[in-house]
Amino acid sequence: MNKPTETYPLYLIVKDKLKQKILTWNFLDGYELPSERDLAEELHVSRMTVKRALAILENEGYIYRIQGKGTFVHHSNLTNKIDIGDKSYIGLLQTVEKEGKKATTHVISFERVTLTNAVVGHFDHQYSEFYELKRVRYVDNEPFSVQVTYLPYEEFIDAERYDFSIHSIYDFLEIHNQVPVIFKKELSVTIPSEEVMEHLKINRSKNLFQLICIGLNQDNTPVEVTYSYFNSSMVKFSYSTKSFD
Amino acid sequence: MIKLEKKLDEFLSFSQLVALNSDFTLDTIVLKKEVYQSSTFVTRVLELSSKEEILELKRLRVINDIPVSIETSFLRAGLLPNINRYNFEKESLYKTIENNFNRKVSFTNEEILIVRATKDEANQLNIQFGSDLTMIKGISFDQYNNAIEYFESVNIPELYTFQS
Repeated sequence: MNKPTETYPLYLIVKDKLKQKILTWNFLDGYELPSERDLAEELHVSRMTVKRALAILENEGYIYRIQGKGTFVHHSNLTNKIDIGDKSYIGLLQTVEKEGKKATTHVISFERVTLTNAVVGHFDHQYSEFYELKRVRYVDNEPFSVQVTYLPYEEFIDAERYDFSIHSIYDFLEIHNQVPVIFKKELSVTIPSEEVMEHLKINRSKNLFQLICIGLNQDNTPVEVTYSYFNSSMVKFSYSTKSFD
Repeated sequence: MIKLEKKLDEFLSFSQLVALNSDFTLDTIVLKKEVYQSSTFVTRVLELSSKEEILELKRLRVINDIPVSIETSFLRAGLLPNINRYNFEKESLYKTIENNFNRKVSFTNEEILIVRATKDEANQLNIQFGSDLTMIKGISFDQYNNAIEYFESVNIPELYTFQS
């Protein structure tokens, strides 16, 4: 821990340390924090210092206390996550940059492929030849997402002229006047392929968000389909529902 | 394989979602039903001007004898007087609120995260401590635009697909 100064006293340093522990899942055990006395012993500070630090964390909503029971972490308040849901922007680039983070892209491959699988169905069986663009997206240099985008070859044969490590799919589609205006989404939680795990630098089998996004133009025609796999510790997915009763 | 398809734009309760599949039988076990003063966190999330009486209702959802979900609701007990006297193992929470308090869930704001199971959750869902769960959390609003509930549910990851 850092040394306290006049302007940054010990209890604030302790607060930062505890907050960091909370944000990095160091308190997994039933989300209950150790007692004030145990925390004080562990951090080599007084109990009063721990008390003050916890009071701030409670005020900030990271923990809550139940009288006579204990202090608990709200894992629902771990909001260092990027929102990839309906409240986010059309493209990952804008979504990430809006949060003040740096987004970069590495193109793994860009190939012409012939397909017969579910992708063909997403395009209403209009095409069997596609460009397949595989990219890894980084946020502040951490692998954030693997995205595989399919574009119908005959509609977008010139896609090969673009550098998709610099330009977004939507910038490219805009040139064709084919920017999607509606997205059909399907989100599931699955264990991805080894290739995806490797690109996301995940070394053990773990559940990720898989988001299938079908972009439709103003004539309701599918123009692109993207399969995205997200590093689950970095994202959340927000949306709103309405009752139709 | 027990799968529920949740629409991202339409509000349906858990029991309504399960009822869409005639092969599924739903059982509910109430794990906790307690009224107390809201924590700072719940007070803030519900944007209450001050701490209020909250009913915390925690239910284990079992489909075809397989535990799939733990739902925790934090309800504004002040808006729903004596709500804790209902038996939520047999009665649907939202139907109870609608029939007895004239409040219907009109819309919700929700978020999905992937989180890790606590010891209690692992025991209740028959999974390993620390294994992945899909968490859905959000706020329900009634027809008068009042926030009436903050909820968190943790679900076995293969349970839900979400569609718009």
